[in-house]
Amino acid sequence: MVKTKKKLPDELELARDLLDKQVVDRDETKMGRVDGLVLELREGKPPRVDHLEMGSAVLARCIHPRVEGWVDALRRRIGVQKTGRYRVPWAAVQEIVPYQVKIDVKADETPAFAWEHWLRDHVIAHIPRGLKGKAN
Amino acid sequence: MKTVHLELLLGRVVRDPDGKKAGRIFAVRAELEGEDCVVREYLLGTAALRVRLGLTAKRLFGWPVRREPLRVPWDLLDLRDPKKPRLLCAVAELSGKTKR
Repeated sequence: MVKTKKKLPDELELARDLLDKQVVDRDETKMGRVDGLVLELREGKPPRVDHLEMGSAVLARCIHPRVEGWVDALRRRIGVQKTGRYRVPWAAVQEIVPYQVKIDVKADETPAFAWEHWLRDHVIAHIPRGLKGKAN
Repeated sequence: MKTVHLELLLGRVVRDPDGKKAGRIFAVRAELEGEDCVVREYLLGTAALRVRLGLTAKRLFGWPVRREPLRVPWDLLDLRDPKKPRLLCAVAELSGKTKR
């Protein structure tokens, strides 16, 4: 992980400043939105933000836990995405601005682009005059 | 490790030990403390919703309404059951303590 200087405000209103914000990786590639935020409860200490969550299962959970189960079952059946939740530890959050949250990861190495990778390998690569084999 | 999902906590009704309704959680204030982001207070009520949306009554309706959200310090809210958050003191006591 490349150490870069973090640009985080001293005070945050968690729901307004983080939830549903666009997430970009260290190269400014858009990789989804913040769908969930997990707080760790500590004995005798204030709760702290543990990680951000992204993914279809997290969104489904907001509707109803049963819907989350359905979405997870559907994902397993299709088998493209290995997980319905992508967790970003708080330590990876680099910058929070009113329109986006920048995290210190490479989007291509996360499950965020599982569908794009699957389409590239199973569809685009088989189109005549398309990509020969797997693209890098 | 006990965790709470913030998105599921928002909109939950908070009650005091006597069962009296204090309001719904609409905003959560946090601060940076070293590498961590720690929760300082929970804001309850419709005024908290305005805070979350970044709106003012003056902007919305053209007249100023000086209504402040009910501020609950982190140590006065029991989140062991996130579906039923409970105040650790009476609502009236809290209003006196936190009104600005």
